[in-house]
Amino acid sequence: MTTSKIIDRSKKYANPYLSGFLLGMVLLATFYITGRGLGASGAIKSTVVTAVVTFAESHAANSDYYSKFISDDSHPMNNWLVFEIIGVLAGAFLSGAIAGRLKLKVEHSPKITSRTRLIMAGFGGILFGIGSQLGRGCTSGAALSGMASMSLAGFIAMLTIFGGAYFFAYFFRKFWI
Amino acid sequence: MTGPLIPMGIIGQGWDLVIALLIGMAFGYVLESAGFSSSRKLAGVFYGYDFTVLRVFFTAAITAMVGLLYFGYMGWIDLSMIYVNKTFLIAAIVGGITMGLGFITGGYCPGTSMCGIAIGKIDAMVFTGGMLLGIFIFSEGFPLVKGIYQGYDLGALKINEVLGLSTGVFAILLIIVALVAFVITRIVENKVKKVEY
Amino acid sequence: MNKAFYILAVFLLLLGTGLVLLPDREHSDEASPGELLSNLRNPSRFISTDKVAEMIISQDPALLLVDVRDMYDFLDYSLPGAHSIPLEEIMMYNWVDSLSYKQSQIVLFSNSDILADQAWVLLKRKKYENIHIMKGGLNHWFETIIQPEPPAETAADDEIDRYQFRKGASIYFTGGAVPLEQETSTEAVMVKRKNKTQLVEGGC
Repeated sequence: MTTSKIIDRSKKYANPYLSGFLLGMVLLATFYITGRGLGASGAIKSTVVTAVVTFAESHAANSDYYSKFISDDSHPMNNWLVFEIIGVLAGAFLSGAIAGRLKLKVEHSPKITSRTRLIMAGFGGILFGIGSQLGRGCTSGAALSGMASMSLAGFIAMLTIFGGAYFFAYFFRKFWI
Repeated sequence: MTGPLIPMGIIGQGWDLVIALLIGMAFGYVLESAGFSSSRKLAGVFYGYDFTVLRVFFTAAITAMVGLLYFGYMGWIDLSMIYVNKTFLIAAIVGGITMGLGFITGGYCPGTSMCGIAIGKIDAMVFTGGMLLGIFIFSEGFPLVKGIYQGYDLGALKINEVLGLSTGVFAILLIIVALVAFVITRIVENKVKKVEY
Repeated sequence: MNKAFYILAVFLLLLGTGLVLLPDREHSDEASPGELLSNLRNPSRFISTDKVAEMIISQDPALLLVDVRDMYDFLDYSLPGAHSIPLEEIMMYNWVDSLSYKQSQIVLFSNSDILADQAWVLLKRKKYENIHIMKGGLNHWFETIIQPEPPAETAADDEIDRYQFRKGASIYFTGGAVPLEQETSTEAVMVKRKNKTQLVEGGC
């Protein structure tokens, strides 16, 4: 066991291998109970669909894409993933509270301003939103759950998300390091 | 009880959402405690100063995969009822790369941004706002990408079938790849200048 | 590297090796006695002659009638549109796929319940779904549909309605194609598919 030369701030965080193992167990339990994996972007999609249905119902019904997710008997918000995400917020809050990490702030590299960070975050969010719809799922739903179920799509998602990020990392290094 | 429990009708549909909430809580707790609520920690994997993401992500995927295979072997779960997402080749690749670009600029992915929001990260809130907008843009522009979205449908393929390996052989290979990656990234991490965040 | 890594490495390598070395296990695709018992106790394995008549008349595309008596009986008399699959042949697989059972409600019948019930148990053991037995068999079919007994004057309304339906059905099945006065309730039989389409697309 080598000790890191620098004061390891991640000490405050749980051991990554233990976290990974626990996350794997949560994922396994999810598969065992529900037959599918975890997800996140689906809940955000439900929110968008609900908003559009609320403000422009006929538009939503006529749209090729929204209409896929609107069914007569169930409200789009009444979705498994929405409840899962509410749980995620609660669970993360709990963990943050225990570790004393609850704080309203913008986290950014000292080389950039909060404003720049927020613009980049919004821009990244838009791209992730578009990409997650085109790729039918995000890091958790497509890549993580997909890999666990050995689906080809899961491995493609993992390779392209991380591959894409590594490819573009050089161009955005100023924003992080 | 042979799983999956809900599709098999062993747990009633009414419990569905309660379970979703509990699973979500466990998911959120583990992600946050691993540090996934910090965008700078997440970005570390792309600049070599913190490989936590890779460790957690890979370990979780492999643990769940191996677990599923054993559950199937023991007959505790009917693997044919496990959802395997379909491969729409071009959409998956283009979507994945777009997400990659979103990841490196935004610093979060959807699940981790939720963890960020939960502990008060304003950048995570903006990221999620951007996602709402992005999904809205995609939905409005859907006719433009419909061809890609629905085309090149390869079906619900499994990677070991594509490679012509048995599930067990594929699993052990992936385990070895992961363990080697863990060792290499530890070496890289020690060489790269530490970033304080 | 820290201790957790070594524990994880050993753990995963052992489990992974196990997956490779474990002998292939023949997975029984037969229902366990427990499952079979719970299926046997489920009253929905029976379907009434009225319901069958209604499905035939409304030309329900999901209905798949299977006559499990022997060929001679089948040629002698059977229900319209029925397929003949004698009990001895029930375990021959080829007919199942050719009749695309998954989309269907299979209704087994014989003269009484007995043969159909035996066929039902055999098929259920092989985990087929949507299999029903026509309650009372063809004997009961004659008593209720072909020659229905008029209810007593004092009978409840629904009994009289049922009689009206049966009389109409009787005409339908015995030749005179008189349209039914009473609307047949087209309560769709839930087709329970045993595949993954019930899962939500796009987990994320």
